[in-house]
Amino acid sequence: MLQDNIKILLSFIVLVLIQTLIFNQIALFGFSYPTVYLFFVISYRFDKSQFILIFLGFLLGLTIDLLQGSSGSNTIATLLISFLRPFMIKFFFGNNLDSISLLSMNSKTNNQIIFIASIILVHQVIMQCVAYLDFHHFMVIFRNTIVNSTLTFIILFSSVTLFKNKN
Amino acid sequence: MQWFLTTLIQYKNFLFFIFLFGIGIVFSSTGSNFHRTKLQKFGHVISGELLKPIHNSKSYLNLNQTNERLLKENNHLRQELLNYKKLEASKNIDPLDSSLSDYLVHSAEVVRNSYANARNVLILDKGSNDGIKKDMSVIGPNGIIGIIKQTSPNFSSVISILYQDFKINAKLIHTGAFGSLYWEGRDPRKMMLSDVSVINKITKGDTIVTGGMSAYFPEGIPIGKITEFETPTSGGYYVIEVELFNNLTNLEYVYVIDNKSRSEFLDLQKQDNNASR
Repeated sequence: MLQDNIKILLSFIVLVLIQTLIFNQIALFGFSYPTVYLFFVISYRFDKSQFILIFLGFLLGLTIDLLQGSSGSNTIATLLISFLRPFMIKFFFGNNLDSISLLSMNSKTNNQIIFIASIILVHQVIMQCVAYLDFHHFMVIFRNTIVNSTLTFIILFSSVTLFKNKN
Repeated sequence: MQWFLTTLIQYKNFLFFIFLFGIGIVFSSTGSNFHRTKLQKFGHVISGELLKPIHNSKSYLNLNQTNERLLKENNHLRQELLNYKKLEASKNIDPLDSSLSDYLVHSAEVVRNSYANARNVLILDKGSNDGIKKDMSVIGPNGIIGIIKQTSPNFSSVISILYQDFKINAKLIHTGAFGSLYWEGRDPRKMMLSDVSVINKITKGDTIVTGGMSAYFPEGIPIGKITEFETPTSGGYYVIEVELFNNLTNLEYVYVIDNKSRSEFLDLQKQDNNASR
């Protein structure tokens, strides 16, 4: 139990550092910042408290926002995605889950791909909309959402595959 | 009562979510209240401390290019200084006497650069200990960069000109026509100039400089050149696209300008406001 909590805390810190020190430093194609910290929301265990995830999601977004100097878009998007996560889990995997986290799930690969992709896409759409908050910038929002989501998906899907617990 | 408590516990996730969502909305709303400023200041100090070592190693790797760029700039400045000295020699005034000049220049390094967000904020490695104050203007080797937003003892944050809802007074160097410059958010090299009346003739390649109508930037600092413009079918103003001289994506050294007559300017503006009321 304690070990699990320490793991969660550690992954929180490591992901914040990776995001701010590496991915926010290199703007790919000149404008794209992949949001790799979503790994936290994706890899959070299914049986852990949803209440705490909402709080941690909020905290994660706020930390990134403060370190990046952006005005709240990460906070709102990450909070919303941590709130929506249980509904998405139910939607994509059904009611009876056979594993305790995405990292130990070895069946339903297609469902896993769609789950990760939709979390990333919803997060990006909300984040870009909050950041620009203006229909005039539709093309910018669209471009950023597509490119960021694709890059984030590639990074997160490969890291999920890499960190899978082998049976 | 029991019913109330049961509902409360049943929907605790949703209620907690709504509560935090409210905080998030307040945080992202543009009104700069005290807490938000405090929080952001904390954020910029932490990220300054975190990024300093990375910036140091990065700048070590770029030393060659940086030297070259500085050399070029030095060369240019030296040339200007020589011309200036020649001019001043006839008047018997020391051109570098700081009590006579209106502007003081501090140099600073960019610890964190940012150009791909909707609202970009840079962090510099000089703070209030080095005499940096809020609202000073920041320029680069080839033109304007932004305005100091907050200072802490060792760092300061800068609102980049690549910042949504931030407008800068600018003018065309040839005709002297004024307009306001803003960023559309698409490309860190391009900005838009609006409010230039069609009675002024403009051509591609015209240079845009700061207008000096606000107390932020001194007049005549280069900004960019016109790459494209549209003459509107209705309405009397051009839509002009400007390419910036400064490459904001690879900033390393910048200059912070302290306008000593700024307070005078602001006083005057205040008096004017009071008088027109």
